[in-house]
Amino acid sequence: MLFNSIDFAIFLPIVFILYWFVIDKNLKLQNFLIVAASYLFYGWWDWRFLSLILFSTIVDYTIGRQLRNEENQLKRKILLWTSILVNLGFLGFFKYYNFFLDNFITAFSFFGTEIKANSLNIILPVGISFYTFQTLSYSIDVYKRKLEPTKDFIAFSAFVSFFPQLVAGPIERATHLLPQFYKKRTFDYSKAVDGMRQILWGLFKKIVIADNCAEYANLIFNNSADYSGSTLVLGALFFTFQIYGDFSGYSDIAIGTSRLFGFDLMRNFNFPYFSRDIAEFWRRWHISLSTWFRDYLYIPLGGSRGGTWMKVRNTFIIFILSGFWHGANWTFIVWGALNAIYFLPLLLTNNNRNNLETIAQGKFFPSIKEFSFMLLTFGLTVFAWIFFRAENIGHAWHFIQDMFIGLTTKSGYVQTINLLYWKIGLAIPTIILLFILVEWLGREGQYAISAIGLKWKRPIRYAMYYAIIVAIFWFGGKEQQFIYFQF
Amino acid sequence: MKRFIIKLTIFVFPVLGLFLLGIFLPTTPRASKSLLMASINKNLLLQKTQTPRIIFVGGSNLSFGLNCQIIKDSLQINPINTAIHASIGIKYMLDNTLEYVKNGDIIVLVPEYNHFYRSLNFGSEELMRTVFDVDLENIKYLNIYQFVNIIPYLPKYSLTKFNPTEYLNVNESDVYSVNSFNEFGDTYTHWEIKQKKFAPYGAINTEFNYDVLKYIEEFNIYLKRKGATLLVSFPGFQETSFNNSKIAIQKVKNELMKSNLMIIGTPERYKIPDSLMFNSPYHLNKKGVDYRTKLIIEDVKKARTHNIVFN
Repeated sequence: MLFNSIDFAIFLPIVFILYWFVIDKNLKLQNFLIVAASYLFYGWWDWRFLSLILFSTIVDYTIGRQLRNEENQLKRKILLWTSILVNLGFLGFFKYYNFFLDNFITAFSFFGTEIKANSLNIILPVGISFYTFQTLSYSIDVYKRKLEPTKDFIAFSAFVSFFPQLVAGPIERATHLLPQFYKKRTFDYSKAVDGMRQILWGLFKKIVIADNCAEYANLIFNNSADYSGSTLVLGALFFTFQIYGDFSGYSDIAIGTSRLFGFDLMRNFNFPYFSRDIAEFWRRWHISLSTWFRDYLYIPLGGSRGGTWMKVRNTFIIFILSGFWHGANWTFIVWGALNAIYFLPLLLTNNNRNNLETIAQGKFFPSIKEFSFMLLTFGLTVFAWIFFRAENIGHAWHFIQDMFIGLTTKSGYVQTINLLYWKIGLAIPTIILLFILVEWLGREGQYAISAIGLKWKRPIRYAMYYAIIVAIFWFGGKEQQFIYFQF
Repeated sequence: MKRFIIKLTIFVFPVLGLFLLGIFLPTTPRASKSLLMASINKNLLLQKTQTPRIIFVGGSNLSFGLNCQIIKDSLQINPINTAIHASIGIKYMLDNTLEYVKNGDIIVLVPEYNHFYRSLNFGSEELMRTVFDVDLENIKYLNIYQFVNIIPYLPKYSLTKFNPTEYLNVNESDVYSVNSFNEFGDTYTHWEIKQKKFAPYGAINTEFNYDVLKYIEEFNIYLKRKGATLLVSFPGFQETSFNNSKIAIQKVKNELMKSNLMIIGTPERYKIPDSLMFNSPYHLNKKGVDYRTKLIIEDVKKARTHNIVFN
């Protein structure tokens, strides 16, 4: 079920009413309703994969219980590795089997040996990378004794399958989300209103920004050989806003929906395109994944301790794995490696924790220096997204080549202006500029419109909300899949 | 909690009011010139064309893919091309046609391959516009699944009624207009226009929808009761796109062959070279139209000579 679908618009009020009006006195029943609703939500795509979630839930719940009673360190390690192997085994099979097989065959053929092996027609279960990492966090935290293993199977099932964030995050830590299922939830008016506001903004980002940018990003990327350098830059820019609107929009809807049910999810985006360096960008982009890798991989690998070589090695491992997490394609690996390369100068000069506060805090305009660094970081990010979006490395390479060569031709700019004027029109670029402005104005809040307008008179504030709703419906109807579902 | 529900209801009320008003405002001048309006003329053709008749039902692959004058001359039968747009959905097309079917009619149904996958069978935005812009009475044909498919488009549709560009400087499209069709219902205004550049379709990866077949079989029963004959054929599909979707197309062929329906031609036969396409993998240029018309004439003739009784 997509958040931007009619199905979800029917599903959500029904679950909400049952949750708060029918079974509001019984915590266990509320948790059970969340599990049932989440399985329905997920099964709407493909009910067959519910068995995967259920199996993963049973395995991690059982291992958690056994870890509780087990004092022998070796046995504890075996239990932890069982959980890791089962979860990563599923992920590896469904997501990476064909990738490794193809590369294996290519590698052998390079040395003159022909291997015949058929790739499998495997359907990737939606959101498998997200819930796998979430359940892994539980097993690891229980193993490290950071978390008391749960005895409540329903609460644990609800934690694994919680529908707002099941298929595209934020990837929650068991230490943060699981205890919320043990506590009685009471309806909080201001929390619910804030949740609705965040859902509204998330829908705007997805339907108005991402889906419209997707149309032109796809047009330009799919026919990149036909376009001039400046048009290719435009395509990369469209994709840059598409992926931000798509993914952060999803996160906003997920967080907002959770708030309607009395839950707090972790923040996943913090205005990343206003970052002044790549380190800051990664503290603000897909925060739940970055911190997951930091806590469960970077630090266990030695983190920043142990000298420069160790830091560089660990940074590359994290970025490359983060790229690979997104999909079984070399483009994602190169995208990750490229970000590691961007990160390297900051790491080596110990400048990776320079910009911890929000840009131009309390001011409207940034300084020229801040603005220049922000622009540079944005440019580097746009460049890296080309690899992320390209079909394969060859496509990315040609795209970049054509982009730089084509930037020098006058006719290329004419083509871009024609495309902008005749095909895209002025409405979309104007809306993107307005969107950037609103995000800038709201950059100190949890999400752009969390504080904007709260001090305005009610009719003006409502006019803003109605304008957002009209824009959503105006540009809606296409019901595009979220990009991150495929990860 | 009560306060939240009340405030939310009050907040949503004006939005709902605006949408309802937009839906029931008259059709805009821009929409009045759209190709969907052609359904009025096509229904008139269904009413008035004399028997013996051959009625073509399908998506734009048929409207951009037939020359009914050649069919008339060759088969000595009166052709009616009812096709407008694939997104109206096969179910609506069949329901609408059934009302006008006469004893002895031959109905050639040509679904596009996407109609057999997911729920395109139940239509999309174009179905919504066909009902709300063209003839609201036809809402009677819609079932729950069709409503589910069209509801997401209603808010945007409603808002277009308040858009000044719908009323001012309305230019008619050269090929997608109510006036792009000839006296048989074929789109003909593109016959003199040069081929346009377009991207081929990728593979169809969604689930096969068996309900489509069931529905066509049910339709066939109603047709038989009316004394008409149903032939099912395959769309003229651009070769490159065809090759991208081979597995999905093979599945359609296999399922159709297993059914009780009378099938004419094969998907491979209607694979059209890229050079014969106009502006999409389903739209044929003039040469393509003539080529595909020749194929369908041969197939109908073959069906006749193989003792398929046409009442």
